[in-house]
Amino acid sequence: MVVDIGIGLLGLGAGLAIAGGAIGAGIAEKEIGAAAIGAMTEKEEMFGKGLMLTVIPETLVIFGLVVAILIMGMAGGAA
Amino acid sequence: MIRPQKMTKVRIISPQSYVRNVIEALYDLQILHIVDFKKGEGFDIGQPMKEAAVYSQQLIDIRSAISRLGITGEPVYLRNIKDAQKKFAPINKAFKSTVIKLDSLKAEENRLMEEATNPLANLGITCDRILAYKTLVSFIGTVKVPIEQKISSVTQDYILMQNKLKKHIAFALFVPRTLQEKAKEILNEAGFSEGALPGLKKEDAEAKLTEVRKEIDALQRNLDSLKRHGQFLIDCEFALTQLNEKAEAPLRFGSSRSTFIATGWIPADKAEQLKQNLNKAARKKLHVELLPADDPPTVLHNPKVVDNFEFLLNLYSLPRHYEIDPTILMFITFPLFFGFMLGDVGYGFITLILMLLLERKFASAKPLLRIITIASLASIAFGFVFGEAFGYEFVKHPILNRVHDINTMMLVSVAIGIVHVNLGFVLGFINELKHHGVLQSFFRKGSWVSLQIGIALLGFGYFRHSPMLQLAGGAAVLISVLMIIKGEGMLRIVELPSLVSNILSYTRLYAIGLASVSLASIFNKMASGLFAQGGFFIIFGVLILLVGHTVNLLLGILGPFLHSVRLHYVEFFQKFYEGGGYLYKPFGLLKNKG
Repeated sequence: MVVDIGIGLLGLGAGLAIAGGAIGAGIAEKEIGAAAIGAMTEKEEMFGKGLMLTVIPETLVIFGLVVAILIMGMAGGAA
Repeated sequence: MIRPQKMTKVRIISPQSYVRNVIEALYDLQILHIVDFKKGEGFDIGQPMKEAAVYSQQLIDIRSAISRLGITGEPVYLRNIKDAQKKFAPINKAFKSTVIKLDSLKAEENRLMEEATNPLANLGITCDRILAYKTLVSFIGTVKVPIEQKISSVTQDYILMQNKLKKHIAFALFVPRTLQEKAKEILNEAGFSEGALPGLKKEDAEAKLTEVRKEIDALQRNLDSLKRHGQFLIDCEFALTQLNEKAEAPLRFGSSRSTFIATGWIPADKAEQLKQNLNKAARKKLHVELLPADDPPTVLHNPKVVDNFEFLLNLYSLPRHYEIDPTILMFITFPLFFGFMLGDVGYGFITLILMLLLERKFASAKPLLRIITIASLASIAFGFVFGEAFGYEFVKHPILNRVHDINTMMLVSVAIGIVHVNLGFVLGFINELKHHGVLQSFFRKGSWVSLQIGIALLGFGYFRHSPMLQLAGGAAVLISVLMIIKGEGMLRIVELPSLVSNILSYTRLYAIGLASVSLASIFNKMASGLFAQGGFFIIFGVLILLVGHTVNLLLGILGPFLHSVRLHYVEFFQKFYEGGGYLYKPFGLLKNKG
């Protein structure tokens, strides 16, 4: 499938958007997750709260995904 | 059910002679959340009843027996506690003596095993008569390299017995005391490690070891046979815990020589029942007064199916007694969000079956499983709306197509976000009404709603090219911002952008759904490609379908669950919820079963 380089760059941009979001969320959740496991070892009831707090940075991925979808929408419109 | 149950604080005063009766009556009523008495003003805490010490000791014994024997099970009502205590005494004696003997035998076994595997065992020397000489000095142990040559180069006056092992040489060396230092030097160079001679010959040690092991087995069988009392022990433990609670209750009351005072919380509508029962127990020599007080425990009371969702509130934080209880709202919105995200007939159906099966096995997790069951019903409904089953679009023109109607889906998600967030503001408004009155509440919460209306008018006016609307919108925005500053202070301005980010956060409803659909359709495409090749590849195709959809299902339960809950806890609760209530633990919760 040969496309115009502009469309290709848009695709690249979309990929970067989601990649950046995912890496950011990964780094954030890594720290929180480690702390959550530590808390859980001491007190089993912390599992619910710990899991909840660990998932809070998911917003970063969502925003990345939304931007990627919008960019792909632009690509589809331009093609 | 929109607010937690109303509670009253009561103070019960009665003579000490009736303290037992009152405690029994309270335990049976199961409604008083005791507020432990704090020392001061002439009153001290009470003395536990005499039998408390006995109960405590027996509880310790029973619990150690239960844990050592590894007994599990549900307790059943024990009719006669005195007989039970008598029956327990010989069991306890047998248990303790067996355990003591067993432990000492196990220690002996370890010692014998060390002896039997002592590397110095085969040197041909026994016992300890060789260790204390005036003119001779002995070295016993292991070295890493042979030492015979070095020793013989120093003196011919020595006795060396050696035994070559895998990595060392076990040895016993006897030299005149005058050569002690030289010998030490040589030995240290060779990596000398001191050892002790075994006390027994190897054969003797092994014989004794088998004997000891036989005894250990016999004792272990004894111990295991005690397991047949398992159910009895559990019933005893339960009954004794109840008795112990009652016997130690006076520690939580205020006491003088002749009176005791018990303070606590009861549901407001149970006050009459409390007075009647206690008056009967204390033959009217009792005084109950209702105190005005402000920090009751939180008791949520919701109708039958809705109360499962209290689990989500317990996970986060219980509402204060004056707040709105959002459980019933979560009953509506949580399954909606979950269904919107999972939105697949096939996955929803399997989740439903799975949860119903799990409920049989893990009865204790019933609230959580029920929540997901209800949510899976919503998923099936949304699956028909989106026309998806296991990622396959089985409806030609569904109401909403997740993969292609991107813009519509995003708009729907954002719209849901706007509705939910504003619902939060409305609830916040209602909560504030109780404390601050209409005007303040409007400044604090209503202003956010009017802010959004203003922005909407602005946008509308811009797209319709109507200066009238734009002016109205701009004015509304300005007035709202001023109201926010007036109601909550200047710093609240920094939260204006967070309004946008909170609403946009709801786009995850679409994003997660899209991810799930995409993953499923990828597996479907891979499998159909393999099916087309026919023959052997069909097996691969089926395998890919099974593994892929299982993974997607697990993600599809975990993901939507966590994100729905997160949307509630963060975006929704932030607008109105305070939390920080404490749990209601009435005296007597360990009620007899059966």
